[in-house]
Amino acid sequence: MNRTQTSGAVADETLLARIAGGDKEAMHVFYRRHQKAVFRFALRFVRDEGAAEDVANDVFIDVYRQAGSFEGRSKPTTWLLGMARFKALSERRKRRDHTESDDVLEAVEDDADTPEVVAQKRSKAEALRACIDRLSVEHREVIDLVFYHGKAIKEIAEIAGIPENTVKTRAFHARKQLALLLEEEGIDRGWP
Amino acid sequence: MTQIGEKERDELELLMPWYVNGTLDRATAERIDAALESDPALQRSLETLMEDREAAVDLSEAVEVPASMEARFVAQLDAEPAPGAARQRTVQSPGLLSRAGMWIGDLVAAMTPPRLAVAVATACLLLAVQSGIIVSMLGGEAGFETASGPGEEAAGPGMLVQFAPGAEMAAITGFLEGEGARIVDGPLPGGMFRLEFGASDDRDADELSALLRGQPGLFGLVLPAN
Repeated sequence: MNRTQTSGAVADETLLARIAGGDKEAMHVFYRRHQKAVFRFALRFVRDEGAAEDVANDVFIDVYRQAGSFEGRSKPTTWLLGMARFKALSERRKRRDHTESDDVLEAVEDDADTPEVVAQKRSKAEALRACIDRLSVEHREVIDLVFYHGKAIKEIAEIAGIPENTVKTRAFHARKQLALLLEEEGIDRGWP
Repeated sequence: MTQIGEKERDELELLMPWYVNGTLDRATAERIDAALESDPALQRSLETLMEDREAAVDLSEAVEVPASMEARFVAQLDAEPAPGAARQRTVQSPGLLSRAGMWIGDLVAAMTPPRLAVAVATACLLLAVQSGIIVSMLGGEAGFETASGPGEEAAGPGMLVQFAPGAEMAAITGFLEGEGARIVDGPLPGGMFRLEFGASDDRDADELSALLRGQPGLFGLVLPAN
């Protein structure tokens, strides 16, 4: 998430202090800095762009309302993603029936080609991206938090509300599942 | 080089994703550095993790934020009282036009001109619609006019559109200006925005639909407004 923050930019903590005082310009800067990351994170849970947009904007409105309660015990981005996760999961529960029917459709589409044909059609990188997209929400979440958001073990534990050891094993199982999905498509990773 | 035991390999294996994203403490990272020199299994693990990282980043960065998202946020934020003042605020105070003016000042300082035009349009329209007041607040200042009121030019043909994901606001406003059209309402349910063409525009709904659908980089769904 810090990938969008250039050196010399006003620190997130400083922006939050200004936002707590009602500074809307600071809120705009904070929003523009993190809107993509929050939207993309929410989208993994709700799987609908409109819903992810609503979730992301609600998160930032809560930031404006609650900036004064940010105590600096964690990084602002960790606080932000924790709120996004909570709201996205609530939205996902509301939309559960719809999401499950989508999952079924996706599974049907995935079975359209044999593994050999799929392997021929796709490069390894394309296959890998497709397999990451097929991971469960929990596995995909940890992969995104590690690699896209660059979060440490402790931060992921805080965002997901799970023990640090569970974070480690969940990431390991996500990688194993990824290897299995690739194997189904005819690609042997040679790991684990 | 020293060989590592199975137990240590298992322990380090669990930490490898964070070795790759650079968030481990120095001592643990150095343990993995040393183990990688002698352990082919960990070396292979590192290779797969580098591939995973590239794929995960590519996947996330391929997702574009909807064009309407920031404009909607600006409108929501403007409707918010200052933190801590939530219970003090009434609908009429400090006054819609006054608050709109303050908000526009914030935007001018923080936004680029192309985004400003659409964001101002959206937020001011929401304010006007919510309060039942339809006024011409901005006129030519931001290149946008609110919905027609008494004495204004009669409305031309209307269309409902969704902006294409990733569409640049500068391109949208440039295209609309060239066609004598403007955004008069939105975001509506479904992320739709209402466009209005000039009163003297004699193109029918089919012709306007074809015109807008001919710009797939700017507009997604296109429907007649009436």
